[in-house]
Amino acid sequence: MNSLLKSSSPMAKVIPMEHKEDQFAALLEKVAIKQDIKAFEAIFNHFAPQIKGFARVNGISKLGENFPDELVQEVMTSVWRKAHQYDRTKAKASTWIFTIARNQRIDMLRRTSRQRFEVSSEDVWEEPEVDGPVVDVQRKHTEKLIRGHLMSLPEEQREVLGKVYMEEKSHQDVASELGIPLGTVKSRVRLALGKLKIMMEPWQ
Amino acid sequence: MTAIFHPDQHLLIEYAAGSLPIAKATMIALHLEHCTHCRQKVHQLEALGGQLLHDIKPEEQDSDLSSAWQNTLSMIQSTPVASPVKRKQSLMQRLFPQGFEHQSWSGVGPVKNAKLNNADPDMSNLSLLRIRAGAKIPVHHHHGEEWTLVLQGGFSDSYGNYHCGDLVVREDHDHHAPVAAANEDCICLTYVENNLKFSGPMGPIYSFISKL
Ligand SMILES: [Zn+2]
Repeated sequence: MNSLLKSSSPMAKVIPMEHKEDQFAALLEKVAIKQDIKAFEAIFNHFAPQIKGFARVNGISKLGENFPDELVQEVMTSVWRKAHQYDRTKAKASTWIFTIARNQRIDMLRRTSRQRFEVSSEDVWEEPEVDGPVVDVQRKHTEKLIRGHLMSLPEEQREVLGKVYMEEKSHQDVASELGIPLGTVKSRVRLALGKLKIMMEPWQ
Repeated sequence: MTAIFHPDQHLLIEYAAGSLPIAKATMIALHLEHCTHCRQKVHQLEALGGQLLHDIKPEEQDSDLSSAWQNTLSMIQSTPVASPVKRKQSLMQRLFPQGFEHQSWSGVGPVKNAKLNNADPDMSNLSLLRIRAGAKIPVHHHHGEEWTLVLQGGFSDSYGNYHCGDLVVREDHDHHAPVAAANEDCICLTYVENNLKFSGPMGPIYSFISKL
């Protein structure tokens, strides 16, 4: 399955310099424009194991042993259906796929407790929508910092971010699980965001 | 108008990560419709989520995906692609399609309550509060959190003045007595963890209202 990923050829049309690094954005565009199943398979081969790993830690696997696969299927089907809504000037491919996985997980967990609900996760958690060229430049700068510095964060900060994002735990749950005060969890998060240069409150 | 009172960054993270219960997430999402700062921040926090997802090291058992791939292939063949244009309706319009006048307001005097029109049980902690222009809500204290998002008009209490889009999060044991701005009725969406206990002279009435 991996050979497809390696053989994927670069997009023919001209792509601005700063976008070139996002090979998955190019693949999503092929899916959008040509319903390119090879491109889709390449996206699947990379992200499906990640999504399954995500499902293993975020509570989905507790629903039953088939559920991690089901999350993969739901997310990847949405990726296929919505590929033409993806806009690489608004978000990296991984950001966009993360938001889809996050929303599908929320609905999957809610579905187990009732037949139907009036408000779906998509109503409340929108897909990335950011306006303006200035924002776009700033966004890329932040993405670069995140990619470059995430791995060099101290272990205790990365651990907390992992629990907050991938295990989808509240700060309070993380504090209880690690047996540390809530304030310590918050300060680890704050330090990590500071190092990743994720905007501090602009109103401060 | 730009909001002045924002959710703190830990709430924005829990929103971006998807761990916030949907009722609270609704309050955050409505604030985001008024606030470019927080929108940008959420976007950065989602990019962090994307990178963390990208960096997951799958275990042995996560790599067996042949049946998931086959199932996905048959699912994409039977599901039509989504419409190219995303919904232009805001969350505000989806929650209150007919505006505030058509909510079924209940209560007597200067303060009225309304449930949300949808019957989603995950949203049951949310309700609308309408304070008549210039009216005062009795001093009350609450157990658990109380969130207030201004949707129309404004109000003030001993901590500040709040306008459209402002989100005010009050923890346990805060005492405050909001007063609506004089020019128009103030309408807020509130999230209340537990019932309020009113300690002012009208206390019993408002305790009753808040349980409706
Ligand atoms: Zn804000």
